[in-house]
Amino acid sequence: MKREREYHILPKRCYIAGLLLIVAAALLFVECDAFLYENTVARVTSVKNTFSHTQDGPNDEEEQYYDQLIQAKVLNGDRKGEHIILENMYSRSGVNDERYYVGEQIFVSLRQQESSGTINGKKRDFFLACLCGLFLVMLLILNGRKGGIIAVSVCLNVLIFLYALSWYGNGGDLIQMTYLLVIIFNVITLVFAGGMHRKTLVAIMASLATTGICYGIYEIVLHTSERLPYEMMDYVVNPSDLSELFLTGVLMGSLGAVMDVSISIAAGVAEILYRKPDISVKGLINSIREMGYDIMGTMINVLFFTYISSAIPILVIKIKNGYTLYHLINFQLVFELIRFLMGAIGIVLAIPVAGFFSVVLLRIWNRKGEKTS
Amino acid sequence: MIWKLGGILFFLMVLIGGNRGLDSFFALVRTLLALLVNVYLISWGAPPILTTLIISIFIVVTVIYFQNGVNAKMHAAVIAVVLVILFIMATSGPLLWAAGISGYNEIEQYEEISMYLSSDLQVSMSAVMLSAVLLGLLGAIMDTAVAVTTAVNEVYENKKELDTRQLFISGLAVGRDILGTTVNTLFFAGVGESIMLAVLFMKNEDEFAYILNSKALFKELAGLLTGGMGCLLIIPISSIICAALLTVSQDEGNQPDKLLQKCYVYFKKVLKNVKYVLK
Repeated sequence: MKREREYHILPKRCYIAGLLLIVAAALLFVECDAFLYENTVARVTSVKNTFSHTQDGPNDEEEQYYDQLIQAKVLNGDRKGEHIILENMYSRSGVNDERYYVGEQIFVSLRQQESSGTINGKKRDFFLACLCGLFLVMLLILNGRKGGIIAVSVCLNVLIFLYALSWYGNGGDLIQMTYLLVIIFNVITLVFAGGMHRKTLVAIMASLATTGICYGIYEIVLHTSERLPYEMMDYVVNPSDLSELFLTGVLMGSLGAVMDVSISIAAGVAEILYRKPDISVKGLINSIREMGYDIMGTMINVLFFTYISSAIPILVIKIKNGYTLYHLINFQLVFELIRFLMGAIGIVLAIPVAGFFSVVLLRIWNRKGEKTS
Repeated sequence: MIWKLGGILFFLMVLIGGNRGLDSFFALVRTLLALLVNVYLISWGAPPILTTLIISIFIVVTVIYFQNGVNAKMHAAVIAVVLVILFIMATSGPLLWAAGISGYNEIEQYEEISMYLSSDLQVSMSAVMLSAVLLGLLGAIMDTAVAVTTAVNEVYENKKELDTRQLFISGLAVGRDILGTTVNTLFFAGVGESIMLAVLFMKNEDEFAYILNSKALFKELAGLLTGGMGCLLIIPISSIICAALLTVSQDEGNQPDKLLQKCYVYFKKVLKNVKYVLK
């Protein structure tokens, strides 16, 4: 009964109202932020779609193309308020083109002395802000203070990531950056998740060790297998450092999962030792196994769906173009699958590694604590 | 290379997880096959979102029921997952659609591969992208739902005198512990995936305004944020449903014979319980 009084399902009403007000104001600002842009922004006021032609696809489909005659009003710059006329063509599939609707904001390049121009794309900042706002509202309302802590830790990590990228862009070494990032992310995330506590230290050590082992496995398998078709990756940048970039991505992905398994195991062991200080090592190992089963399935599924689902659109395009399953798995899905497999291996490995670290370290610390007291 | 890594994963899962590890490994293989079937069905002209919904239900049912058995807590998990998916599709679905997420982004458009792939496909790429987001969401919420309902059930088994509200609160407490870790996993998976894109933006020295409004960034973040929202929503929803379902069967006196009638009474009681909790 006492616990219930302490536990608030939802935060106070004024807090919720204030939060919603701030988010709504921010969204309104983003919707009207055209004046901040140097490029010309216009709002679509009317659209007329007319059927243009059909084109044959690779499997005898008939793809319909439509012309759009768009009227728009310029929202910023010297020619603010001017009405312009734009043209656009879209297809039903929309693989390579865009359809515009009334009310949307778009980027245009205006022609001189003419009330027309060309479309450069949609203005998406409002939609992005909406998604972030929705997420933030849910995080803070449904999870109160804990949600706030998560938000701060994620923001901090994003800032560090951006800083590291700019450092790399100015000629920093990618592999060095990866090592540093792994350590910094690790410490920050776990301190936020576990607090300043011994179990946090155990989790930090365990996840660093697990990530190290993962890295070793990756390198060994990489050097004993045929070369990966790096040039088939998305967003190919610079042929010289493709393999390193991919490695960085793989390590980051595994790190996230490994950290979470480590902190869960360390927290669990700390809890057990607190409640039953005289538990035998065997009993502890059994509990760790039990915890391990529960975490393993959950985390592996999360990674699986996150990675594989993002490849679905390009898979559909390629299947339509007659690529075989063999090609899809070996040249398209291969990177997603490797990221997933390395993450999953990290999760499974983290269970015994974190278990080992927490049993050894937490027990030693507990004994020391008994002696001094 | 994938076969070797797959072999290592199989070996480790069996070594550490024993029989249950074996089960989860085959569940993964099954899910992968289901996803491939999904992709092929869409390519053959099936409506993308509907097909994905059906395949998702298949995945939810096989993963949740096969691995955990058919019982009240798993019913609660399945209902919660379905509700969250519908809710997210209703709230962020239109948002994603309006933002234009179809097809190639700015960078892929100028890559070699997109030049010689035909784009006349008769498949709405917006719908395909939405399906992909939906599946990503599924992974994030399915297992959290199971974890929460299992915990609520555990509490209930140990302390049968707890009422719906108290059970709900214990579900929330467990869920909030899981939440941080799931959000982190999603976040770092996103970082790992988008590192190439980030480097590319940097090397091209794109302006901030351009990046902020680009389709590429939006697509990356859309998957991440909807997954995160799913994690947040599934915790209260699954614990409230589980708490309500468990306490309903507790005070069930005389059961109506007919199944439909039973379901109706059941539903009314669940609603009453939910209302009681929210007050």
